[in-house]
Amino acid sequence: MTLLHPRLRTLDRYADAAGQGDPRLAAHLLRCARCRRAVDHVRALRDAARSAPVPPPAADALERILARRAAGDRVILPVAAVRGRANLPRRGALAAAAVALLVVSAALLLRPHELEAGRSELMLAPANPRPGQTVRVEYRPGARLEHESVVVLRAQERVADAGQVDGARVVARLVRGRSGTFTGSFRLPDPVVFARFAVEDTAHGRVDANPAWNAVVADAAGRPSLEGLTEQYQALSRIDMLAARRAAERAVSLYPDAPGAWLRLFWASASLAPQAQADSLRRVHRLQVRRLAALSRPGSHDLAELVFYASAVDDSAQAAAARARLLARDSTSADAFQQRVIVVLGRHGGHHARELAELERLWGQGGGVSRQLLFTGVQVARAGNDPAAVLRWGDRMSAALPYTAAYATRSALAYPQIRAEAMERVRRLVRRFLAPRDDDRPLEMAAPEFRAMYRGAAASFLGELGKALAAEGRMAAARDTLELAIADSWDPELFRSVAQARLALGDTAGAVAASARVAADPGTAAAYGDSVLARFGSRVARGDWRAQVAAARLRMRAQVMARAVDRRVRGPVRVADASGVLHDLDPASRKPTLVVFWSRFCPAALAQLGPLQELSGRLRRGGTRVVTISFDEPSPEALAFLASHHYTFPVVYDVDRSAQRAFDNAATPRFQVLDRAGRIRFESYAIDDVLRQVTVLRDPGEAAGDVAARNEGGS
Amino acid sequence: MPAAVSSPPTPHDLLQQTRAGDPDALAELYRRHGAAVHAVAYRLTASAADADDVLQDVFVGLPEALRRFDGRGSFGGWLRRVAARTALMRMRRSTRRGEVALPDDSPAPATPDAAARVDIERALAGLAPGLRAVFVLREVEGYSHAEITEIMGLRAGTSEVRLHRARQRLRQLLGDR
Repeated sequence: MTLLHPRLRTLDRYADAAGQGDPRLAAHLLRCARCRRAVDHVRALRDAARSAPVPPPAADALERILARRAAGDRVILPVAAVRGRANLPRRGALAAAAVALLVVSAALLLRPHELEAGRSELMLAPANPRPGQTVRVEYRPGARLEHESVVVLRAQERVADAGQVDGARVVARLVRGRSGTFTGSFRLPDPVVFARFAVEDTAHGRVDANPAWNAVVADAAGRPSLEGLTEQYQALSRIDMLAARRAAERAVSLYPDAPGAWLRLFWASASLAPQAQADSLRRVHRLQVRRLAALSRPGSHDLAELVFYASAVDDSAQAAAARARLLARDSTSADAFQQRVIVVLGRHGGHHARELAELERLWGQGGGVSRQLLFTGVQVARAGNDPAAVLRWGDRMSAALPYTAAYATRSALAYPQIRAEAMERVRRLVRRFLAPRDDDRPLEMAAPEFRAMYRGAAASFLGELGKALAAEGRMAAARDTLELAIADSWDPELFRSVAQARLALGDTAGAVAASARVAADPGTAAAYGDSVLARFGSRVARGDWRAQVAAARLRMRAQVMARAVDRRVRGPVRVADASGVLHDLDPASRKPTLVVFWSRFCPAALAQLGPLQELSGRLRRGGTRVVTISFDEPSPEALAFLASHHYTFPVVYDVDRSAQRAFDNAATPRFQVLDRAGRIRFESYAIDDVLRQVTVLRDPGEAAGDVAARNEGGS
Repeated sequence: MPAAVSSPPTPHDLLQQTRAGDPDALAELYRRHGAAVHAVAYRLTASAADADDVLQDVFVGLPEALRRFDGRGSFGGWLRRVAARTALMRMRRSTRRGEVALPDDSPAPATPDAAARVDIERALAGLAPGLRAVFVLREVEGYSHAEITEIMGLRAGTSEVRLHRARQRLRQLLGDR
């Protein structure tokens, strides 16, 4: 029998089999020099690779390992993947950890791993561009954008001392090449020191984002700039404190005389270190404070950073000395005004009228360059219950920092004395919210979600306006405004206001209809239906009420589903439990699942953990699976955080970021609701709508089911 | 009077002491296994700096990780596997960060043997990380495809396909000599 030249892959296998391969192939090799050469080449490659030299480890490696251990550094190593269901853990001292483990264990199903499925890559060259330098981009799409031909690269650009930056802009159009890789280029304009990136397709509004996709701009010498590293730290510290600490370590190594670099390293280290080591950490950093204070001719900004660094490590003498040096040299920079505000607050000890007078004086001297002055002005005005000052400082802050306008307006609405002025500002804000600029869209947020968020904000402020009108006794205008507010949203609190306005105008039928919407909401107490029926008495027949609640539920369902998405979880999810053991997490569980991404270093996420604790118990009792995924590392500190707040919701840790990739999420906090099949159906940055979303998924077909029965007034 | 002679700690004692946080025991384990860990990491990452980082991370995390070492099989084998996984995690993160290895500007080698070694090093460094990892684990470290599948979290069969692709790519890079 004649054997044609075997395929290269077959020859590879033969080479691997070490003489135990197919005898026919062996016979062929005896005759065929070409195939013999291919097999020999495989073996030669192996030999060459085995004999290739390996450099020795760094000479000080052991010393650094022992120093890191002594400083409390710990690394969770990927010891082994769990194959099959994990053993249920014993109940430990920390209730939170135990609950987390139990729930995770219940959620586990054996699945093969394929960590690279759905993963995308973004490469920039150079990785640290100089201002204005052309940056070449290569984007290899994962499963999410693999079918597109053109995508855009958006960048959230930060200048030095940027403060809060949410918006992002399109910087490049990336075109797919034959290999499937997208390429393009862009330049970062001069004042930009750091940028984060995301890729999206414009046709469907899908966003591919990753916190690691960022670039620190280089200085003239080609080094990553200190300002860029600072902004990188600020951006990363909200989502990944370990990555933020690495940014701080890099800054310290490149700029050892910059107090700001040391300050951020201290913050990151203190956040991650065990509480027991806090004192020794401060002691070590106090030595740095003294070294830095002794340096000759530090700049104003360095002195300001030194004040904060010294304060952070409890060295008040050094803090005061650095402040005095700064103010002796410079009294009108943003840094100087920031320090002067702190001095004012310290001098008057809560006497708000005096503080306001002094802050006003600073404003008159050009203090508007300081964000600290603007924020403090509003806060002191509110604390001092001074409506005119609230309005004045709120306007100043909104003009300088547009993202604060909503906060300033809400602050003004609290005072009846300035209601007319506040209402005018609400109208202005609503107009802005109804026509949002795409450049204000956060990097990770898809355009439809952004528009929905702004519509929701507009509705919320229209509701505030309606309530303000009602407080002025203008009931018809209040009703019309409130109706406008609820036209495209579902807000039980606003429904109550509508019911009151209609009742005040003698519209009983309208008031009942609005009340039925309140009753239809799954967050409304069961007794509400009884109270409505008792209030309206014979004017409302029980059967009519029941029908109205059922109709309201249908309306709620339609409004909730109007914001639904439908996409699958891309690839398996491998998460660590509290002890660092890895588990596969199956998104499908025969019941709806709430997935929450959070980090204990993200203030926005922390603000939602209290409501989450309340909601998670309710959801789990109702048969919904709850999984919260922390971007933190499993550690004694993470467990202590949960225990100290009495949080009992289940927590797993996305140590290798497979959850981030699979759920295609780079934000915190992020709420994703999955249906029984494990498909992502709802996504939001706030917890407000989660209960309604879960209810709709849990009872997909019902029109007048259990919620209506619950709220229909005791029947 | 003769000095007291203490016998060196047994491997079992060393692991127990390291697990308990004894820095001397950790240092002794480093002296015994550090080079092997570093070699695995270097071959996988093709970067001396990354290999040093992996080496550090592995030994910094070792006392806690040892709580999950069940004593079955050799400690050295278990540790090399952990090192491989740690290096792979680092490679994934580096790729996501968009870090690109710089071309080597080292001077031309003086002898044909040295040239061949430099060629294979450069060719390996030029492989995509996923291909390089499979090639190194299989051809240099000697793991089976089943073991590579487990270490890298791959689907069954993927390891074999990647090994074949890695060899094809190396043939292109080196020329079929």
